[in-house]
Amino acid sequence: MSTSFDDIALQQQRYTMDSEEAARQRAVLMAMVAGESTLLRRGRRRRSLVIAVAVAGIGLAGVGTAAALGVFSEKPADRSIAYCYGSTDLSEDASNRVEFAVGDASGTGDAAAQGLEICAIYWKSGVLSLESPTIDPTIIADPGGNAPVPPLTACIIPSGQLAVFPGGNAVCGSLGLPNAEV
Amino acid sequence: MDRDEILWRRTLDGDADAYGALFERYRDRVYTHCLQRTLSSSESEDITSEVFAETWRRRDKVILTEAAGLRPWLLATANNLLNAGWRKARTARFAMHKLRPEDVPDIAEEVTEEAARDHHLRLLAMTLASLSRTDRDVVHLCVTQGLSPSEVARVTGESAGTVRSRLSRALVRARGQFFGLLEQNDEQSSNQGELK
Repeated sequence: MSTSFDDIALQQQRYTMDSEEAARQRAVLMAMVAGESTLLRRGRRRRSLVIAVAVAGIGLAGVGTAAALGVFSEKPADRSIAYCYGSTDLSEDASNRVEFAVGDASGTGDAAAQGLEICAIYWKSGVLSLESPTIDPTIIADPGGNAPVPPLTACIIPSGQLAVFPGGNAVCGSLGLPNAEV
Repeated sequence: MDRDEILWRRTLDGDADAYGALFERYRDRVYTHCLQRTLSSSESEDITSEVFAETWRRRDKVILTEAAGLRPWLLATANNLLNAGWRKARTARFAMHKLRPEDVPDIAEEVTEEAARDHHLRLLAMTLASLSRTDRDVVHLCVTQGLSPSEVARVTGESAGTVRSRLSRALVRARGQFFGLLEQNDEQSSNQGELK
């Protein structure tokens, strides 16, 4: 055999990762970046809010915005798992929702904002789609991440966990659920 | 196409799409790099995933090179992860003084169909496995992945001269090991031919 080590080492043959596995990894990594960035931005936003309140004084204190709008809101009681729903069907089926973790290591963090950002990625990458009712998180319909994202709203489901549904601000109420408190 | 530097800067600003683009750009290179060492598609997939997760976790330390962007960092990270599990794997599966190409089918069962057919991939993996850790890393990064010694030096923190001289010595050993494996293979093939 005339093959030398240099021949095969320089061959530089490229193997291709399984496309479903690659799509799954991509979605997880993007969620990781989006999740942590939400926490970072939340810190900045809260500082801005403190300044705004200091300037405005206490004149606006009194009726909470949520109560004024008749919107009932809650924080998630269980932050270990949250869900992105592909429709307003509340069934707890894996083909109907994708699960993810929210919050930082201390168990704090803006779970609702983080969940909305992570779920938007699932919609953008086509894992969730209004046209396809069954979810398969291993299949990415749009690897380019350009699939449409509907309006999303974070609610609290009866198990006390955060769930992000497609729909406007009224979607939680229409499902008999409280909005997630941001 | 955006340069790595731009995508990485956007990633640091929390742009998940930018990190997704970097993953798309390098995932198969990292995967191939791991496959050349592990001969296992599932193990290589796992390590590839961990390489990108670890890069994000250690984002404050990441170094990009001018010519090769994020690639040297990713491959060096892959080497670190491979080396962490390599000693165990090597003890369990790669008793190199006994290993012959035809001893690999139990590993090859895990390999992608395409890779299983590639005899050269096996020879390369076995040659790399027979080298010391430092020799293996430098040969793998510079020869099979085509990085320059200075690019490797940037991410390992060594001087380019050190990497260059190590590569030179390691290549002599790699060629010797490879030649030995080929001889074993030829001998085995001719013995099998005589038995038939």
